[in-house]
Amino acid sequence: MIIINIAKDFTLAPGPRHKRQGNFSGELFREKLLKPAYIQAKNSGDKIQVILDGTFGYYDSFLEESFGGLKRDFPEDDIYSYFKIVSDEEPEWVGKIKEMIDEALSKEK
Amino acid sequence: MRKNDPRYNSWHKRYSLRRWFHELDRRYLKQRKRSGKNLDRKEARFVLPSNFSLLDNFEAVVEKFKKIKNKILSPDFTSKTVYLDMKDVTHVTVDALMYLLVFIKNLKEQIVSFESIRGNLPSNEDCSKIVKQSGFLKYLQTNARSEFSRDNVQIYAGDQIDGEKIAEVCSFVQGKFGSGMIGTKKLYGSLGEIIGNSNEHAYEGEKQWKQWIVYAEHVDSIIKVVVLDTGAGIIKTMKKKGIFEKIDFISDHVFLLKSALEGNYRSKTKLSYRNKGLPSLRKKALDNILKNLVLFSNDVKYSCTYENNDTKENCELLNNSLEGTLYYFEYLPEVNL
Repeated sequence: MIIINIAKDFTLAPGPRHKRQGNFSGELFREKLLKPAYIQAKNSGDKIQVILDGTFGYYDSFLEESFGGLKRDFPEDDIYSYFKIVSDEEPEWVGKIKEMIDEALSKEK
Repeated sequence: MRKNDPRYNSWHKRYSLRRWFHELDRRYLKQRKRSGKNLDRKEARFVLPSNFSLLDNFEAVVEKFKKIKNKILSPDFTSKTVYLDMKDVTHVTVDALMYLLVFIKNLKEQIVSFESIRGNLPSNEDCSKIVKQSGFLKYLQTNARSEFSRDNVQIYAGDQIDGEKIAEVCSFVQGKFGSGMIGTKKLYGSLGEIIGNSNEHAYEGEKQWKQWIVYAEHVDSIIKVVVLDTGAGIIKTMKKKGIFEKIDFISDHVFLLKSALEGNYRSKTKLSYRNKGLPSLRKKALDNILKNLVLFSNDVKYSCTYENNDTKENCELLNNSLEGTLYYFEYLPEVNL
């Protein structure tokens, strides 16, 4: 199991969506940690545990750019199946991240 | 020259007159100083409303700022100094002070011919205390003694979305309520979304002091938060970016803001994963996580109040337009989690 603990491996204060908007963005998180971990997991058949607990909190846009952005990078993959999201402090994020991944490619009707 | 010189008398007359005028000037200036009136006859004085609060007296305050700005930008305005008179203010809230700060900063950016912008504190002791303790004075060059104390107030400004600054606001709240990080996670997310919206607003083409300000105060066992940004405002930005496919309702600003808050408009980008920030804030207000949310953007006011276990939303058109967007809400951290 590949483990990413955002509070320990990235930042206690996650930032905005894009790098141009501020530090510790979702875009940076995806590029530096999430995407390499996903490629490794895909090649090895492993899973990735992402621990959201221990930070000051999250903006919707940070998580959308991280996970939704990963889906947009790999549109054909079932990326959610590789992840185990741990969020005991805010359990609602687990379902929301799945929704973000499902809606990452969708256009408005 | 000698006194018997024929030119002496005429010289003496001129010299005496000159001295007399100087004496008059000196007495005049002394009198003006005692009365507290303008020393500089080229100084333009503007009296601020006695109820100096955007939350309680939005129309009058914004109208006043508009008049001041129009006067200053008019071609016949030649004063080098502007004096903002707060002497008769009897009610003041921090949102108006923050707007005043932004107003001053923007004037200085836009009008380089100014030598100075001056002002005074309210005569009313309570109001004067609010001004001194708010941290407003620390953003100005002033001799007035700021009584800003970080014990009950936190004020931050920035131009990027700075998670670490927002984290400091949350740490302040945690310290007041002993809630730990868990208790302020929703606050962190909310402030990030608000400032994120601010960061995305269109500033292009305008010389402006491009900042957001967050003010958080511990009052009566609750945290009162005011966030002000100096962007174009939600309505203007939506129109400028061509967010709407359908333009039929583009002149209906109440409809536009409601659509932005409900997240139910059809956008030109057609990307359904974008523009979730305002709907997320609205949901938190409806769930009473952000209590008594009030939002002023351009000429629309949105409010969400919680009474008798029910939330009540209201969206109304205003007569005047705010430059930027102002959010107010109250927050009580979740404790004992």
